[in-house]
Amino acid sequence: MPSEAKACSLSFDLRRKTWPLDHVHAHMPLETAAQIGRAVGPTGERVAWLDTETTGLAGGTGTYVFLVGIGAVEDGNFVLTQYFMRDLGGEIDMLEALAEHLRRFDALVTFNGSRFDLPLLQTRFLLSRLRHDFEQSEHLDVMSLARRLWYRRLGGYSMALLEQMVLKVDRFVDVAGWMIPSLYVQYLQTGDLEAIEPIFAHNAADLLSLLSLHGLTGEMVTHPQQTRVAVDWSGLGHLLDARRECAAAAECYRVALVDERDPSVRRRTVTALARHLRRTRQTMELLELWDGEIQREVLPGWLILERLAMLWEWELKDARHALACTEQALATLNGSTHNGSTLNGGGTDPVRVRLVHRRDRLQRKCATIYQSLGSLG
Amino acid sequence: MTLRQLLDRLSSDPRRASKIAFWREIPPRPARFVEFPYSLDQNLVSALRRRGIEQLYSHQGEAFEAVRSGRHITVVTPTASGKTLCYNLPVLDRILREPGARALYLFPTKALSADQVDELQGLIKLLNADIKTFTYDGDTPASARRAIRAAGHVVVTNPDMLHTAILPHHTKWLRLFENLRYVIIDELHQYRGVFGSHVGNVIRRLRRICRFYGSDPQFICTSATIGNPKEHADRLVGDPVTLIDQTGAPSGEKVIAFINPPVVNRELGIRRDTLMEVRDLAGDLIHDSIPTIVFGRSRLTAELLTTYMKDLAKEYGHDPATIQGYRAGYLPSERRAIERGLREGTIQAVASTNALELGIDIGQLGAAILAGYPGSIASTWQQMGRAGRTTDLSAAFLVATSDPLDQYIVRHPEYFFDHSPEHALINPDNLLVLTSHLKCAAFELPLGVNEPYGATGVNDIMRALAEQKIVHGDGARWHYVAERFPAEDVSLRSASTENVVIIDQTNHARPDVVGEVDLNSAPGFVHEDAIYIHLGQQFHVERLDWEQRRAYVKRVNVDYYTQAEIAVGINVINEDGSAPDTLPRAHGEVVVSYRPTIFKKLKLFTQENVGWGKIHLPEGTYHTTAAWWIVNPAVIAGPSLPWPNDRLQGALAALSYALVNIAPAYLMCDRRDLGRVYEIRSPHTARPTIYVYEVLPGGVGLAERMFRLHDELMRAAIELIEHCGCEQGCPSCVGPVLEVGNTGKADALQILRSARLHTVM
Repeated sequence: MPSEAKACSLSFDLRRKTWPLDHVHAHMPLETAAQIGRAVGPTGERVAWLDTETTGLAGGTGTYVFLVGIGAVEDGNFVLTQYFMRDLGGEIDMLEALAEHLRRFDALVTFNGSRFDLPLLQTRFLLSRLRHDFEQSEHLDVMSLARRLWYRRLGGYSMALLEQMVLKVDRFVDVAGWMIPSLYVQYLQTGDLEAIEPIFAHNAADLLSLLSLHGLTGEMVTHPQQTRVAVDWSGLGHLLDARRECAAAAECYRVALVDERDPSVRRRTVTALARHLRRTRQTMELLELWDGEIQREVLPGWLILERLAMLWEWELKDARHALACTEQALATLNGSTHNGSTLNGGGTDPVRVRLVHRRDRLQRKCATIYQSLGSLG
Repeated sequence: MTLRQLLDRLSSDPRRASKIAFWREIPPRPARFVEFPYSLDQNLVSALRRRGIEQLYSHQGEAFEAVRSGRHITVVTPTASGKTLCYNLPVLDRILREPGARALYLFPTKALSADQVDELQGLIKLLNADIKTFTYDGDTPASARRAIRAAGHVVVTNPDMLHTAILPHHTKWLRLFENLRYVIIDELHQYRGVFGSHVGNVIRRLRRICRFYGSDPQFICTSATIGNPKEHADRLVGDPVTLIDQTGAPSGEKVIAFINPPVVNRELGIRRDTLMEVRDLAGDLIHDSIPTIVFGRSRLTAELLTTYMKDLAKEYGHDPATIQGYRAGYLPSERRAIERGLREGTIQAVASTNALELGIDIGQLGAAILAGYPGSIASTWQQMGRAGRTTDLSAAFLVATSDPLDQYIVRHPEYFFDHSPEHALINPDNLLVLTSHLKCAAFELPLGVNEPYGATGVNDIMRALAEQKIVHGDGARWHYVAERFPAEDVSLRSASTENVVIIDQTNHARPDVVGEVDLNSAPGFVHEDAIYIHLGQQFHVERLDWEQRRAYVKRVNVDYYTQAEIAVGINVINEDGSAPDTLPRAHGEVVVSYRPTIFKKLKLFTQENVGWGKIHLPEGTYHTTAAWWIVNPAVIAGPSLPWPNDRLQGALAALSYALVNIAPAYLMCDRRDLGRVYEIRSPHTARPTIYVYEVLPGGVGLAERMFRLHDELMRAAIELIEHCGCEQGCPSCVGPVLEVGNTGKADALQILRSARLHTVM
């Protein structure tokens, strides 16, 4: 269980909570999360996890940050320091202390920090005529990873949704995020700290979940095949691709393709897998992949046949087979209303133009081959 | 035929000449030049020389010197007098000497800013200097915004963007605000009324943010001719501004003619339809390929004139595509294409609303025809100024309608030529407007309890906002604490930010957005079964989804158009001032309720009534201000008995008609900015009362000004009615006999004469 400490200055409160590193949150000890999370970043020696509570969600100069939670591994513990602004007039004191605290770190981890928390803090510093450059420290926004990994599976990627569906964390008593601004404004008028006590707990829970989510994403890219939670495999593949872990990425793509019915995602995924197979010269696997797509009937026929034509022509050096595929692709295009363009003659449809061009070239190529065969014979 | 020959024929042919109510030839004016100021950057001087500019017009030189000595200025000179150089010179000169310096250009419309940026960039190219100009508006891609914030020397935008996007995020614009040296406000006269009152507050907020960053920019404004350019600029900028109003630019010879259509029914005072008269005149000009602009007073007129003129072009064997319409509601791309066509000469004539009155560059036109008096002297000069930007001969025609104001103007040309143009009125301290902007100001930067904002102390308002939990006071400052982003709730242009989108469903598979109409005008234009005209094409409104703000239309080709009637009621909330007299009057706050009731179908060309229908739309209400006059029982008592109700009704209709039609001549406003209501027994005054109210929610002071201009207004109304040739009333004085009855005209005059008028001067 965490231990707590409070300190007060005139205008802001400082609270500390500590958890032992073997404390388990979301099925993972905090220490493990802090270590394995680094696989996805950020680079830097001293990392802090940061989350803010504000008077509004719209951003802009009129939104105040009244609570800043900073978590870090210190002396064998996970330590959360919370800066709380007791009145709006005390902002400058709090920000000064906060800037001092932040100087201990050279890397930050947030959830939606690049669009919300960090620009907002930057604005607050500017308005108090304090200079603190957030762009100098490394920053990882775990939300950008979460969007890739879970958006399509869960239909969203809010922290609340991720806690429920991925981290499986239950908040027994919690205040809804959207209520926080008005609770604070109410506190400003009444001075009743009791009423906003749940906000501190909310912020602490957010930070622990941020750490766990960071750890989980780190674990997923480190051991993708051991992943037990629901995940968008295609997204994970792209993430691994970006880290140049191509073989692991290819495995993810294969898993993703088992039941992917969304044409655009399937197309992206198949293309990415095909790129990998081509690079590693697995030509037969590549042929199998595109042949399999024909059976699937998710991607447009002409697209698959065009890729097959390319494959037959350049990898397998069989112009006749390539020509057959191209003609079949053109036939498929005629039978379908590709983008509705066949309705108006189709003369300017770039796909058709491209295919006709390929067919003509292949026809010439085949003729040359026959001629040269003929002359040999 | 050349324009000169055409004008000669017009004034010599007896049939045509009889319609000319007034004819004036304005001689050409030579240029007045001054040498380049010696302190002007040499690089800039040689760039100007490369452009063929060897000297400056006197007003350009004057502007440069005034800015150099640190003053705010307002330049008031005619169209095409080289106004833009008045601000581009000081700005570029400063940036060349101080590369960190920044300037902010504000234009009222996007079209204008596109024009001016082109011109500025042309000059910068010649300078071969690293000066970056960027346009920041709703179309600016997010990816480009960052660069603009950091690197733009000149940021071109509009007050709306400044209000919603720049000021609330001023920390992102640190570089701009720290180094802001000049703020350019082009077309200052556009910022009047509610819009001007809002913009005055946006400028207060801008100057406040500049102070925070330690800058104090100079304001360089330009304006078309208005009655009070200095006073208006002083109020808008919030500091004394130096006026430069002597133009050094030359202008060609110009003919101004007032045309009054002949009376076709003397008894009813009916004149030949203005649009027919305009059509004839435009026909001559189109026939002889003289570039022409025709101004209609409403969207409908502009569209009808477009249709007529396209037909004329066909008749003369010209391509009808050389004739175009132009008005708000066209898509931006359509508008840009039309402007380009006018500049390049591929479009020969355009029928427009006052949307083209602004300084949008449409090149040099030979003739302007105004279909009806635009409502103010200033607008008339601007519209007439659209013809004759060269040194060549040009002509401007004002074709009168039967409206009282039009008839008054054509009969009193001296009113038009000698009277100073109307005053631009703004009231930045209007409580509603002020309160909205105080929220925005507090959002941008906490407001100190003793911080000056505008002229008045604002702590009372802030305390009220604190009660609503919108701000929180910590004793020293007011902090914004509401969650909503305040600027989004405040539209500068009107009370409502909403539009109704018009969707063409002619092709069911591919519905297409053809335009939009603001929420206030929507009930009158796109009610179900209305004929909406866009680019000369008629559309039938199939369905109006009021909740979703969508009107679904289908293309049709019918021989009629529609006109809606709106029932209006009025309730007095507070009387702000009153004057007892034989014709007692008052002004104050009112609530206006309005409900569209029916629409009429009027035949094209003949305006014959061919049908009607009901409009089913909810009633709307809004707060505004009004002036009202109470008819004394002694005045309306006959020798034995008081007037019966229907006679009284007619008299009130006649009187209010005359007043509401003559008033715009004395207020810088449009006829449509005022509405009238009359009651034979008003619940508020318990007497027969006529109300003239401001159509714009909140009002901008028109009502109060009417109250104060009482004597002048009454005198003008008496003159209007006395001098009208009709017998018992007509649309040119008190309204048609059908509406005012046989006695309306005489009774209105009797009421007016009962007012004790004080002689002026």
